[in-house]
Amino acid sequence: MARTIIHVDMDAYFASIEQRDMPIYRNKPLLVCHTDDLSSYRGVVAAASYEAREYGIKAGTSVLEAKLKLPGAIYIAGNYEKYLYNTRRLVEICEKYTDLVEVYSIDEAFLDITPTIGLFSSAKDAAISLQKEVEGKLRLTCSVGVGPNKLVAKMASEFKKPSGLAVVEPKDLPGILAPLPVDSIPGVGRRMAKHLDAIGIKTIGHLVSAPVEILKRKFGVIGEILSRAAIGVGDSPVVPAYKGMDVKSFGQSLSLGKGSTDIGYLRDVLLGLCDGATRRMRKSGYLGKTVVIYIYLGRLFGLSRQTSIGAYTDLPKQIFDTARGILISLLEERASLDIYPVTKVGVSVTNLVKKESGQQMSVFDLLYEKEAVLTSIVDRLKNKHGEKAITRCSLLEIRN
Amino acid sequence: MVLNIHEPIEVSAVFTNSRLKPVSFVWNRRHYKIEGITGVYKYLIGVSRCFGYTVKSGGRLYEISLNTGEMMWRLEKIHG
Repeated sequence: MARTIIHVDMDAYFASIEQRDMPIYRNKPLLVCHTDDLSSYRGVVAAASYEAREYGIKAGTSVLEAKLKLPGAIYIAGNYEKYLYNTRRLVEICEKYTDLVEVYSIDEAFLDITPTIGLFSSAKDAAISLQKEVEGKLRLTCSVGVGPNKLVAKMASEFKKPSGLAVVEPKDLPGILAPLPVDSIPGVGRRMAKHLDAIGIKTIGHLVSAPVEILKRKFGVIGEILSRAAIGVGDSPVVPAYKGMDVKSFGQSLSLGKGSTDIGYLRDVLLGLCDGATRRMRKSGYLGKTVVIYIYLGRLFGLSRQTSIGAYTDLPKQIFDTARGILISLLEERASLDIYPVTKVGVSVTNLVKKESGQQMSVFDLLYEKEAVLTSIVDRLKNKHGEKAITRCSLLEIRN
Repeated sequence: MVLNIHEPIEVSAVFTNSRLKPVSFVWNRRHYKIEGITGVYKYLIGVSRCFGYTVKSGGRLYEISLNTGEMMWRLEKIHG
């Protein structure tokens, strides 16, 4: 049976919510930033209103770059509690159309309406109705794409933004996809597009014509996936939250604006990131064994390294001890550190197992027994009084 | 221009249509009449249910919050 998938993508989500709630910001360039200190140049733009996008500023632009391009814009810090509340309301609306709703990100969702399509006169009507309901109830606009799979639906929602609606029928796929640039395919970023460009592949049409063997030789398993994506083939299911998904990693990163060469400061940042990542691991009931660190030096290049620890853990100190070792070795290797400050630090814990799956006690559990007790108390405090209720002294300066 | 405040305030509010509607607040001994509510959302701090409101008064926008666990209103931010 042919599937019908809808992809809902909220338009300039965070900025639109602020412009809705703050009439004084409407029709003005507004930048919602991921930073606690708007007077500094640290942090990145989390969302840009359409008025700001005209100046080439978009999500991911550094605050430094945005302030240079558009000093007169309105800069505000993101209010993620507010955005999550709106996302919950969006999901409630989506669930009226099907119970197969996958929250893809804070501002995107997939709906598999295959089982409920009979309730609507067509997929397009369902999409129009959904779009109107979102606009009516949330006073926000969204772009909607309809396609035979998640890949095509997501690409379709990008066709006419904002407030766009595009329905792609399987028979129309080759004609619609062929002229699009390769980076229209979700997951194909700047780097991959550059590699493809180097072998003469600029559009999806070029990708279709490329022999799959060449793509496999050049990109490995990704080459085969690209080849299938180019003809609009995708079979990944819409996975609603209640069915759960396998989590692959827990990570956290921080952009440091102009950057830092202060190893003490970088170590404190890393500790905060380890706290954050392991807190989410404990809340989700996961233990991890492999620690990955990545840093960006200046704007030129990034470095990444990973190492495995002796036993599965969800304790911040264990992860941090390993992460700190990797960070210091990465920094020592880079004699250019003084020239290129660290502009971003990230930590990720992979090689995960569910905590319930009966991991064995190891000597590490005894070594870190006190920390386990302390971490459990900190978790209970945070559960009751919120995430900001308690923090390490060494992190106060960073948090402030 | 955004000012971060995060200070306790006194709020007069009414319950209407199953909703809590702030009508005025006092901050720094000054009385602010709420001329309109432009946004409302709910969230949790730990186990405490909280409400965030964006309200208009005297040409400015004020973000105020109610923490029902502490039964405490706060002025969070001033815009404009």
